[in-house]
Amino acid sequence: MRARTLRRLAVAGATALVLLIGAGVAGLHAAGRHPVAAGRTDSDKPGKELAAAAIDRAQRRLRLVPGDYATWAALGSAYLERARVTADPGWYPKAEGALRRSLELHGTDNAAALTGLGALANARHDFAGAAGWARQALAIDTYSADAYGVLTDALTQLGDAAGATDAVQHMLDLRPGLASLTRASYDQEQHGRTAEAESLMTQALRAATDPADAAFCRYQLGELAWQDGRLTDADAQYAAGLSADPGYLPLREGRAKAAAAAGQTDGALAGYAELTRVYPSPAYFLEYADLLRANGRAAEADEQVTLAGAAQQLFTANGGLDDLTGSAVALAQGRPAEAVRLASQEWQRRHFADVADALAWALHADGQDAAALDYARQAGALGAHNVRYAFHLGMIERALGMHTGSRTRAVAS
Amino acid sequence: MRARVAAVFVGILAAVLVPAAAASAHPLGNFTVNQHDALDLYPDRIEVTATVDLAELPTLQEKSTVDPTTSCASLAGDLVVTAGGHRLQWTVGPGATFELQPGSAGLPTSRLTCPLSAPASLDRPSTVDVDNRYRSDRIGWRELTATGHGVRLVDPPIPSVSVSDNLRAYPQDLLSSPLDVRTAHLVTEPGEGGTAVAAPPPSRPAEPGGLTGWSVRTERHLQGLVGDGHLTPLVGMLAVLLAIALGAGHAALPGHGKTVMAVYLTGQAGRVRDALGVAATVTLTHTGGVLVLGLLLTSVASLAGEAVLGWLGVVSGVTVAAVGAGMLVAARRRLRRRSAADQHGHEYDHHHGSDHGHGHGHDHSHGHGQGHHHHGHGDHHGHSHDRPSRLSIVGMGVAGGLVPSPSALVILLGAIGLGRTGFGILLVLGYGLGMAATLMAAGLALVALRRRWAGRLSRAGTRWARLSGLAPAGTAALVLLVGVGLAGRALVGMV
Repeated sequence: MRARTLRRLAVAGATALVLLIGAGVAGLHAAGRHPVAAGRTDSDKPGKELAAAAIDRAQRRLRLVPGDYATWAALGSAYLERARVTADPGWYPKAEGALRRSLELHGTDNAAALTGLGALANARHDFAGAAGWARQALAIDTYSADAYGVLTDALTQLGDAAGATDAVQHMLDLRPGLASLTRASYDQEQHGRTAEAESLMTQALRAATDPADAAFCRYQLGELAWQDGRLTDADAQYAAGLSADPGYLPLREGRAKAAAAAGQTDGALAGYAELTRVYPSPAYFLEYADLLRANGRAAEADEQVTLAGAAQQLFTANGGLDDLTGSAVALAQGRPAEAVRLASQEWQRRHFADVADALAWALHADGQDAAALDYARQAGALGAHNVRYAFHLGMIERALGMHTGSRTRAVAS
Repeated sequence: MRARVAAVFVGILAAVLVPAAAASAHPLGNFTVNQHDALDLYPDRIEVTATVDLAELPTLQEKSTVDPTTSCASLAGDLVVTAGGHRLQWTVGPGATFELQPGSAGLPTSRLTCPLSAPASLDRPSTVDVDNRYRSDRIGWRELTATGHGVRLVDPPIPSVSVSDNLRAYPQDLLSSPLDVRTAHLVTEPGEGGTAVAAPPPSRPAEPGGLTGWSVRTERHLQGLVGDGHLTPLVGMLAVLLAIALGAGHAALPGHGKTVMAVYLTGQAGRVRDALGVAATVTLTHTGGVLVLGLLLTSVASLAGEAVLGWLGVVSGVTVAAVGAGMLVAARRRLRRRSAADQHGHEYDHHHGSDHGHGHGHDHSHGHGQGHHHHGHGDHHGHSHDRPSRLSIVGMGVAGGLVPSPSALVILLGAIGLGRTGFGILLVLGYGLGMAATLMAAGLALVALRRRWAGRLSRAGTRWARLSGLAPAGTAALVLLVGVGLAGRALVGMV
């Protein structure tokens, strides 16, 4: 009697288990169907919708399981990705909230949340903070390619070229793919190895399945050609990127500046007008202002400079820290002394080539060409081919009455 | 013109004077253009109150060009609404306004309000399509709401009340994305009291069968206890008791294995032991199911809980249907065997088992034969042919317990998320015990009821005997139907 009951219960348990696992597999299939289908037809689905699907899934799950720290971390990173794809910093506070919630729920060995906070810090230009988060994450998980990615970005911007090269090599070894290839390419670019950088970026482009990723690679390939002075190639890359994902905004800047260089002023101005309307960033306002001024439209140029100042003010008011852009804005506003102050402040924080170049140019504008020359040379110290660096160096050398190859390059550009 | 300059001045002054407000950034980012179109549908016209909330940078970019009349005209041109296939031509009303409000970094934000109106024939059943194409390339919140006045909205896809208080208070919940609703398809018909129902907020999956207020309150209370920072033994005991009560209440709700079991036990000559068997299997399956599903959901991130519950519902329905089909086959076989026996026993009943024409002849002979049969067996139920098979009892129990109660699942997942897995398992066990208690009580009551009535009625006459003879086939058909119905409902729910 008891044996029979036991047998009956065992049969029931086994049946239930089999049915549950079957339903689980079916449910898994149903859940997986959406992103898989979307991934296959990614030529007509913009990356924004893919990211939206991932966010939606995570939100639904967290309403059911509010204590699931891993999904909180994933959601935070998805919000951050959304900010990158849409160029909308309004997602940053949400990303931070989700990542911090994950860390609150699970404070020990939570590498995913630490990596996410590192990526957020990079996005907000807090590069030292980002490096700190990434190192904490790596202390927990030595094999996190994502953490090495965050560390690479932070060290590059901090001017630690050797450290960045080392980190990106780790990342490539752990997970050779889009994210590591694009970073390796940027690392090569910093050292002036344009051909290697282009080859790596082309590999990354082949690995890109998401249109937003393809657009990103195209933009970088365009920038490499642009820095190398191949304007037609650059424009072709920007155009190809836009046909992959019309929503990737930096490509519009690429096309506008290529049009300006090719002498198509009306097209360039229209491009910048459109770009600044959709994405009002200080850098785009300043480029637009330069183009307007070069075409004798000073009043409109001043208006754009005012907007650049406001955008920079807002960035600072929201807790952002970017004296590099601040220096460029001050320079455009005709306050070279302030520009020098801001650029030096940034230089104290990080010895990155862009900062050296900005400081040199601000010093030149302030009439301190002797001091400027030193920084202008440091900007090119790693060997990067950069038309802007070369132009600035050439102008400073000319002001100092020097006759070198840099000057010819400056004139050429 | 002068008024606007004054407004700008006041705005900037306010920004300077109110540092607290100035310190807070626009909740949706400093370069968003946020929109809300509130539609009011009348039998003869549609009115729209369009509100645009511009963050700091767009305000600054457009300060020199914003004139409420021209801005509203351009907005009206991009707000494409068709009623009954005809595109509406908007008239901008007199109350168009543009005002500045303090934002962050000492910069103002602005708010454009446009009252629009257009004639439309909604005094008969119609459709209204809304497509907001105004500044479609700008980042921002996009919201649509609709209210009927003398017009009824049929299943409106958009709510009648703004969740952002007309762009004044954006929800800051970490688990909600900014709204981006640009289009809506409304079906209208003439009627009174026609306000659209506010869309329910997305929440956990709905309880099948619905819950009474008591059970909802208890559930919330239990979830609170699970998340309690100070979990004393007393609180833990209380939580377990609550779980048992919830389980008992859950099993008492319609739409569960209980209903099927009731039909089953009354149809078959079920015994006390069978009732206990079904109840035990239900409890075991349910508890095990919740535990396995909880484990799956926490370890596999891409698993969608709703989808799993849906598939389990289908499997449960199919199991019930299979048991029903099995019972039907068994009933027919028994019937044939019995009629054959009857033909041997009663020679005067001239039915020579021809292959065709089964139906009628069998029904008759069946009725008589069963009547005698039953009479004879009134007190010892142990006859092998009448008892449900072990397989069908297990099948019934599994089907009844297979679909985990969402509330038990939520409690378990909550406990796992808070690092109290053991406590969560204990609560789920309590839940199962409660369910078992209700089911056993129901089963025992049914068996007792059946015995008493069967005995009395069979003595009373041949009519009950005939009915009772029909019962196995009828019960089997009913179980099969219920099973198909359950599977169908689960499938429809998933699509």
